[in-house]
Order: sequence, then structure tokens, then C-alpha cells
Amino acid sequence: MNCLLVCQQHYAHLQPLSLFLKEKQVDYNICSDSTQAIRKVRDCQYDIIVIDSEVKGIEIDTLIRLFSDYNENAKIIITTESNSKDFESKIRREKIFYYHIRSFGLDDLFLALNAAAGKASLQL
Amino acid sequence: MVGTKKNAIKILLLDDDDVLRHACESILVDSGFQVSSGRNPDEGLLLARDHQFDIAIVDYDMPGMNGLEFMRRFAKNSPLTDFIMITGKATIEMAIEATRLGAFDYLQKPFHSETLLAPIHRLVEKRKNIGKSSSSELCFEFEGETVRVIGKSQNMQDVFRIIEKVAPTESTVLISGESGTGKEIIAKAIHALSPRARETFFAMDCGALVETLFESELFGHIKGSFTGATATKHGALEIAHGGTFFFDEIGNISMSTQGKVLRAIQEREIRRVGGSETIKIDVRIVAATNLDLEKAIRDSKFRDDLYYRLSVIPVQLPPLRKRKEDIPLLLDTFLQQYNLRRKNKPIRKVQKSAMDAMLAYEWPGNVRELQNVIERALIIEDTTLLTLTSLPQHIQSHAKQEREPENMISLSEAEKKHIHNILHNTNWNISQSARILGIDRKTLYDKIKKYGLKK
Repeated sequence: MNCLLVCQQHYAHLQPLSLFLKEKQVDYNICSDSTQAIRKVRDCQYDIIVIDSEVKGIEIDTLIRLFSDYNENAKIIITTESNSKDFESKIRREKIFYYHIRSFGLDDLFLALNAAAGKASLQL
Repeated sequence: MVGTKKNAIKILLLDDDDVLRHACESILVDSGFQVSSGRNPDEGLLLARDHQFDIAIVDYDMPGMNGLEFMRRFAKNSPLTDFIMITGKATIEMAIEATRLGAFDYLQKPFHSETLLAPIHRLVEKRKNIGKSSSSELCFEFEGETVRVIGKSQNMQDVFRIIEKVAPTESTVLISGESGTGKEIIAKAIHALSPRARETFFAMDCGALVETLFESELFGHIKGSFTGATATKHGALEIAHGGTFFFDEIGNISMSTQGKVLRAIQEREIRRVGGSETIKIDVRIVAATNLDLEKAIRDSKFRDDLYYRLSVIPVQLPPLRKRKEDIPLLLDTFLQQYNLRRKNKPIRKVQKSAMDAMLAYEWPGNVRELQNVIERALIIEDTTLLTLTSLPQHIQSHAKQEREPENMISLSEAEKKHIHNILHNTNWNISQSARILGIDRKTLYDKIKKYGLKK
């Protein structure tokens, strides 16, 4: 069973996350755009979805809504490079588990992943 | 205001086209509505100062301000007014935006009198039910959907009475109840029936994150030297400004965070993690817990000052075992809901022994457990009857022992149900199930395929 989906369009953002998940021996899938992400979420139940807010294709808030429709229990973690109040507000109107700003560092993201895993009864 | 009927629905009509406005006004007054009309948005906003309107019918193309902008401004002071947009050149974008802002309908000019009256009659019907608890339910609109909280038992009726009274106020509410009793849906009802209904309802699970992340999500965060706007997390409380904030499982937050939450509620201001600036917030607080907070206070795990601040209006949700008379009604509601997925074979009846078992069972998981059990049963059940055997084994065991005529099923049906029960009870462990059934694994796989059994 795939428990985690990572959707990041830049390799530089994907790499440290991959290393962390490999180290934790977690099964995960990766994709780089919204179309691939929707296909994967439609075909498989994920416990955790980590998605880049700048991912190409569909607007991120619409994408989160689709993920929640397909997989209502998934813990969705949003990663974003830049932030504004309007943007954060748009994202937080949807059902997300954590909002990660990249400049806060990887430890912030890893802590959120650990918390999401704990909520989903996964071992990270 | 034109129209004289007592208790009539009050309608604001705005259009700069004099002919159309007069025509619409006549139709509406003849239909018994009280109508105030104006030629432009400014007149509309002036009228709204003196009157509370139920419905506003607004032209999209008006001088000075378009219909959507008018709707945005009008809704700030009159959140309970429903909008119908009229336009000479409807576009999909306009329709989407109008709907997103909460417009009930939009009409394209020219239109017949019936076309004008149809959405108004639908709104009148909707308004009859919203916020009113009937003898068996509390009904409200949330994010475009009608939500019904079911309960004819006295303790649920008492809950409905409290919600009707407290929702329109600004009071903080503390909802207590076991897991699965519907605390979040009650919080949503309080929001939906309040003047903040058009603003955001924001729910946060207080047990989901470790303390540092929780505070960052709640209060916002400015990280180290990254003080630019792009590196500032605003946080859920600031984003929820104007709306309702729901602290789910408030008993799970640490003592240190409790102090910060108390300050936010008392002072109506927050300070971001890592920041020094205070930010004013305007949110209505609703909290929920499945813990006994008074005991938590005695055990020094919960601050008494926060408890008293939260429990201005306490709402206690009863466990399902204490309102068993609601089970048939809830069952009926869930059957209707899940029957939509079984278009060909909806469940029409519930076997008496199945009902007896459900009434005798204690439901530790409360309404959520009942809902899950019904959803599962409808997947298993092939006939139009909800039978005892489609319920989980631990609930079946609560049935009275006598056999009923409905149990007269064919050998293959009995075999199918028995195999399914065994698979369910072994969590679909094929080897174990095969052993219990006294057949080999291949035969079991063949039977699973034959009967189309699914996990």
C-alpha cells in the first residue's frame, strides 16, 4: 500500500524529502504536476500528501479540494516558497493538515510529516 | 416599502432599468412580498440601513458599482440576506463569482414572471426550515449544502433549543461529548445560524500537532531573520478573522499553549511565534472536548481560567446509548443517504432482529459508529432488506435469539454471508479464514470471486 505521495515540481525540493523518507523506510510515490497527482490520488488511497503550492496545472486550492474529495482522510501538507496573507487564506479555507513555508527549514516540514504520520497511525 | 402582508418576506430590488424594475415590483407585490426598490447601489445601501431584507434581487450592471461588488458590501452588514443576481449578459465567470459569494441564483434578462418567482419560492421554502428545529431535526445551510442534525429524544431537543438561542450571539461555546457524538457538526450549526455565517468557519484539531507546530499554525510564525512578508506565516486565527474558530479537542493542548490561547480569547489579539507585533483578531470561539475538563483541572492538566472563559455556554451532547429512541430515525437518514449509491437495489426495510440488535447495542463509537455500520451493511447486503447478518458480529450477538421468517434465505446466500462474516472477523486474513471455514485457500479464493466479495 502506498501511504505517502510527494508532489514537487523542482528536484531541489524533492531531494531532501526523498532522503528523509528513504531513511525512514517509508513507501512513497512522487509526481511533479497536478495532472499526475490527481491520477495517483484517484487510483490510490494516500495517508499523507505533500504538495508544492506552485505545482503546475490546476489552482492549488482546487487541487486540495479534489484530493479531499477522493481521499477524505489524507493529511495534506502544503509547501510554499513565498507567502502572502491572501494566498495563505485561500489555502487555509481548504482542509489542510499543515502549511509549511520553505524558508522555515526542513526540520519544520519533517516535524509536520512525523505528526501527520502519527495521526495516520503510520510509523515514520 | 410596497406590499402590506404581515410577516411577508422582505425583498430589496435594485435595477437602473425603470421599466424592468417597475414590472418586477408589481409581480412581487402581487405575489404577497414586501418590496423596496432602488435604481443604484447607493440607494440599495441606504435602504439596508433602515430595513432588514430577506432577499436582494440585484442587477449586475449598475452605475458606480457592479452587482458583485454591491453584494460583497451589502453582505457585510446583512449576512442573512439571500441574493439573486439579474443580468443582461451572463457569463460563466460572473455566475461562478456570484455563486462563490453566496448568490442563490442568477437570472438572465429578459425573463418571465414565473422565472423570477421560482427561485424566490425556493428561498422561501428554504427559509422555513433553516435554523428551525422541528420535532426531530435541526436544519441549517453549510457551504452550500443543507445539513440536518437528527434527534427527537428529549436530550437532543434540549441541545437544539440551546443552539437556536446561542447561535445568533457572540458567546463562546464549549461542546462536550464522547467521540462520534457530532461535536463538529454542532459547531458548524452554531456558525451557520450566526451573523458570521458568510465568513469562514475554521476548525483546528488541537491534538494533531506537537506544541511548537501547533502554535505556529494557530498564531502564525516569523522565522528568525526572515522577517519579510514572504517568510511570515499568518496563522489560522488571523486568517479566520471575522468568522468562527473551532478548537476541536481543546483538552489536548499543553498548559503553556493554554495560556496563550486564553490571552488570545481574552484580549482578542495574538502575537506570532518569533514576532513582537500584536495583531487584533475578531473571531467567535467554539471549542469541543471529549474529556472531562473539570477532572483535568483537578489533575492540573487544564487551566481553570481557560475553562471558565470557554464554557460561557456549555453544550453537552448525549452519547447514542442515552438516546436510543433516535436510532430508527438516524438509521432511516443513513439508509436514504447510502441508498443513493445503490440505485438499483435500495434498502427498503430493516429486519426486526437487526433493529433489535442495534437497539440493544451500546454504541461506544456513537453516531459515527452507527453510520459506519450502515455504510458497511449496505455494501454487503444484496437484497432490499437490511438483515441481521449484514451487521458486524459483535452487534449481531445483541439480537434476540428467535429465528425469523426473513432469515429464510437460500443456501448460497447463507454461504456468501457466512464467508463474508468470517473474512471480516479475520480482517481478510485468507489463511485464517480458510482454516475456520474448513476449506483450502484456493477454494476460498474461488468463492470470493464467485460471490463478488470485497474488503
